[in-house]
Amino acid sequence: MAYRRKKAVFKACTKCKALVSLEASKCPICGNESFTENWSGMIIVVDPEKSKLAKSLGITKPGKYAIRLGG
Amino acid sequence: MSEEKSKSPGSVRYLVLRTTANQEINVALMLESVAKGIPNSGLYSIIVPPEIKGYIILEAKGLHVVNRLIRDIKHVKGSAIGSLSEAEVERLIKTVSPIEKVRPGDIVEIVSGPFKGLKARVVSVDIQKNLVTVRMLEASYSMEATLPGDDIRPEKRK
Repeated sequence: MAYRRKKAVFKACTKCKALVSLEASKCPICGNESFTENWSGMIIVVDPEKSKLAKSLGITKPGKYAIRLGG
Repeated sequence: MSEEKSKSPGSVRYLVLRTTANQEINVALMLESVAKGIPNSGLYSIIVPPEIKGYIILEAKGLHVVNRLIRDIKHVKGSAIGSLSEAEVERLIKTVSPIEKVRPGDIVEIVSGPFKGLKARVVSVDIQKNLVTVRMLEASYSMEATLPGDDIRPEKRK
């Protein structure tokens, strides 16, 4: 039986791991133009100033980020 | 009278929320939109850990914040249960896949497929497609192969 892969809703920037919509051509965070649909795990930063995890990951802008790239 | 808000650094809690399996991202997105609608909601970040089904982690000011936010959200099962330490959450989110660690020139070991057990030198890395091109070191002639990023284990840096 063929394995049905779940369709990705977002693609991840290969430089800063920010998640953007599939139609986007440029990363709004770092301006990179290279993306991947192979990502897993997500961190949504709502308040980067108060979030300790955002600080430890070096995230300064609110938004969605992938945790792992490459499956 | 000066109005200074006291910031207590130890007031962050990591709470675990149970969701329907495979709906973790949808719940996280709904929570984000609810939190954005409330100024100073007390929710700092939402974590959907990789490879853990049916649970998300919320970094928030306290349990009351989470209970208020999840009130009318679909696919949430029960109220927030248990809390994690910062070290435990960091261990979950600071995982890197092998493909992110390797650079051209590194020595890797192939861990699955027909070349399992062989050592190889990385020629190129394609993060977008999750593929690594390697040149076998133990082959009698120069042989290149393109493998999935999960089939290799970094052995030695260039």
